[in-house]
Parts: sequence; C-alpha cells; structure tokens
Amino acid sequence: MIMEIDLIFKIAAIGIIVSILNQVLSRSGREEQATMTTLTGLIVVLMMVAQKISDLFELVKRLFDL
Amino acid sequence: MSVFWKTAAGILTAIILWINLNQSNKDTSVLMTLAVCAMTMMAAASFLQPVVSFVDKIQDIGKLDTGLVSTVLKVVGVGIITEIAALICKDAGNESMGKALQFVSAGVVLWISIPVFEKLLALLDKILGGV
Amino acid sequence: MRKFIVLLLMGFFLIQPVSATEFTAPAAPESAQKFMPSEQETFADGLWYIIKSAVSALQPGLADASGICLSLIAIVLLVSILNSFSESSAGVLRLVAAIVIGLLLLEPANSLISLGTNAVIELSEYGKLMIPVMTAAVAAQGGATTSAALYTGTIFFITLLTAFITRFIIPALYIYLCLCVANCALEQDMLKQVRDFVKWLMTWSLKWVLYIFTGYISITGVISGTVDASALKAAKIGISGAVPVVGSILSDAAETILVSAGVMKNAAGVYGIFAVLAICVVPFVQIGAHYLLLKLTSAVSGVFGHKPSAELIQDFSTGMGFALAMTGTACMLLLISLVCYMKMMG
Repeated sequence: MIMEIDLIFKIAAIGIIVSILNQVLSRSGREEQATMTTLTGLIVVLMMVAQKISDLFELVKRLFDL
Repeated sequence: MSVFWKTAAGILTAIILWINLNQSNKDTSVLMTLAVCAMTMMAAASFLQPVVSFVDKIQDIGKLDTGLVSTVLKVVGVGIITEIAALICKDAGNESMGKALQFVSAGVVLWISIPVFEKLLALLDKILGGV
Repeated sequence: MRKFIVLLLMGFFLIQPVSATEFTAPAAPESAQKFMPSEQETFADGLWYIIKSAVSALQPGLADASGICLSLIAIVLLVSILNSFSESSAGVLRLVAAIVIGLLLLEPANSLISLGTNAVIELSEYGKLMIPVMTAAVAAQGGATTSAALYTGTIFFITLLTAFITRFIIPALYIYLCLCVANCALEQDMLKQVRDFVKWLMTWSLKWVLYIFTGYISITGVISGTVDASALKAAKIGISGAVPVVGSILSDAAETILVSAGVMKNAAGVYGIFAVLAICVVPFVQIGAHYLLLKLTSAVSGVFGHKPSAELIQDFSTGMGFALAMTGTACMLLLISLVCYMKMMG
C-alpha cells in the first residue's frame, strides 16, 4: 500500500511514548536517561522513515530517468 | 481513485497527530512530516507514471531527439524533490538549509541542461553563419 | 518588252523579307517546372492543377511539422506539472523550457525562412526575364510610353524588394526569433519592447513597399495609358486621312497587327502568372502549414497553463507569418505587374 496509515500511527505513538518517558525521567532527576530515551526514539523513527525516503528517491529516479 | 482517497485520509489523520506531537516532541513531528510527504509523493508518482508514459508515446510519434524531452523530465524530477525538501526544512524552522538545497538544485538543473545549451549554440552558429 | 522587263525587275525590289515577331514568356525555373500546368482548358483549371500539385508535395513536411508540435505539447505538459507544483524553481524552469522550445523550433524555422528567401530570389530572377518580354509586347501593341514607365518601376521595385528582404527582413526575422527566446527565458521588459519594435518595423516596411509600388503602378497606368491611347488614335486618323483610297485599309491592317500583338502578350502573361504561382506555391503551402500548426499548438499549450511557453510558440508562429508575408509580397508585386501589362492597351 502506498499510503501506510499504520506507519503514521506508529510514529505518532513512538513520539508520544518518548515524550511521556522524557517528562517522567526528567522529573525524577534522570536527565541523561531522558536524553537517551529521546535519542533512541528519534533513531527508531528515523530508521522507519529512511526506508520510505529511499523508496521515494528510487521511484523518482526511475520515473524521471535521473 | 482509491489511492487518492487513502492519501487524503492519511494526510488528515497525520495532521491531527502532528498537532499533538508538535507540542510535546518536535523532532518526531518533523520526521512524521517527512514520512507523510514521502508517502504522498509516492502516491502522486503512481498518477504521474501514466502521464510520463504518455509523454514518451508522444515523443515516439514525433520521432525526435529523445535528449530534449528527457532533459525536461529530469528537471521536473529534481524540482519536485527540491521543493518538498525545502518546504520540510522551512517547517522544521531552518529555512537557510532549504535555500541552500534550492541553490544546489538550480545548479543541478543548469548542469543537466548543458547539452541543450550546447545544441542551441551549435544551431545559432549554423544559422548566423548562413545569414 | 523593255518596259515590261524593267517593271518586272522593279517588282523584285518590292519583295521584302517578312518575319513575325514572337513574344514568348521565359520558361519557369526547374524547381517550378513540375507544378506548371501543361494542358488545361481554362485559367481556373490551371490554378487548380498548381494547388493540387503543391498540396501533394506538402505531405512529408507536414509529418515532420506534426512531430515537432507533438513534442512541444509534451514539453509544455511536463513544464506545467512542475510549474503548478513549485514556485521556487519557476525562473530556472522558464529558462530550460525556453531553451528547449527554441531548440526544437529554430531549426525548422531556419529551413522555412531559407525556402522563402530562395523563392523571393527566384521570383526576382524570373521577373527580370519576364518583364522585358511583356514590355516589348506592350510596346508592339502601341504602348511605348506605358511599357517603358512600367518596366522602370517594376524592375526597380523587384530589385529593391529582393535586396530589402535579403539584407534587412531576414536578419531582422532571426533577431526577432532570438529575442522571443531570450524574453521567454529571462522575462525582461526591455527585451519585450525591443522584440515588439522589431516586429512592428518588419510589418510596417513590408506594407509600405507594397503600398508605394501599387501607388506607382496606378499613377503610371492612368497617365501613360491615356498618352499612348491618344497617340494611337492620332496615328490611325493620320494614316486614314494621309493615304488616299487605301488609307482606311492600311489603318485597319495596322489595328489587326496591334490586336495580334495583344493576344500574344496575354498568352505570355498567363504563362508568366502560372510560372510565378508555381515558384512560390510550395514555400507558401509549407510555411503556411507550419504557421497554422504552431498556432494550434500554442492554443493547446495555453490550456495547460504554462503561459510563457505558449507565448513563445505563438511568437514562432508569428515569425512564420513574416516569412509568409515576405514571400507573398514578392509574389504579389510580380503578379500585379503582369496583370497591369496584360490589361494595358486592352
């Protein structure tokens, strides 16, 4: 499927969970762990998105003969 | 047409989630924008594919130099990617990166067009030589 | 007996060599020979033959022109897709679209302009052969003053027009086309104004050459025609009155000779008209076909929405119109002269 709505929900869910964990860890004084959690979440989402971007670039290269 | 409806529904869903995510986690919201734009462009490409095939068909009927139409096709491809990337940069709050990318794409477009400029110069030389 | 022999000898001195004068139109150039009608009953049949031959010669060129127009539509379609999507790349896109469209159209435009120029040169050369024949025929019919005046004017204007077209109109046309491409690529007001000025200058100059020539022909025909008619009438009255008994017979015989000269003049004139049409019909039809196809392509391109590209195609169509106009002007000039010669002295 081209438009994967479940991917959007996954990204949103990861973002919300990361932001909640970040707040909880920050308030309990564990700043480094909060930062690590944010970074981990970002990397996980980035890996999910990178595949889509790669697919897009391949499609544009094929379609427009680049 | 189902692709169009799914894409529209996906974008509307994404924007609602984005509004919420943007307040709590701006980084992930930018990545979500990127993912949604990539998927939307792939949906657009599925509609552009027959248009590009039609253009190839017209070119075959015209029996002309394939270089000219393919140059314009490449320029369109570069332009689409640049525009999306520049807008995402702007949304992320870093317009200068977007501008830099637009500058690079202008250079790439001119580089792609060099063979066309050379052909034009050769033709003008031939015409002016005759005149 | 002696008187009889002397009278017989004097009779031999009355036997003069007699020869008929022939006014034959020069043969049409080789390139136009295949379009010349050979056996047609009426003038209209001859014209129809020329048109049919030209249309059948058009077909290969028409296929190429249609191919170019389809490619133009494909390019405008692609450019419109990106243009509607991306405002930031509008400038670069304009530049690339202008260069690509210019490249597609300049080469056929160049060959069509060359076709038109060759037709003008051929018309000029044929005119310089044809006009003296018609001048001699009109002079033989008694129109010495008229034919001399018309000869001077026609040769002067043909030479002037040919030089004007090859040295001014053709370079101006190329400058106009290049300005159109540059204006589309860069969108500068200055370029647009210079382009419009060059266009106006070409239109105005071609129109005025034809106006001045037509005016000269009208005035010469009116003045010289009456002079020659009066001179002829005076001569006829003079012959009838001066020579007793056979004066009227001599006057009628002279009139018969003048009428015969007129018939030969008209025959040569009709051949000349067909030859002129045969020379310029192919360039006319080919340039005209390109002109119409480009107009259609511009209209179709305008629908997609990329206005600068559609305007550039329209400008090239206008350029083709100028090529048509310069060929048409030369053709009209020669045709008007031939018709004036044919109408002169009846």
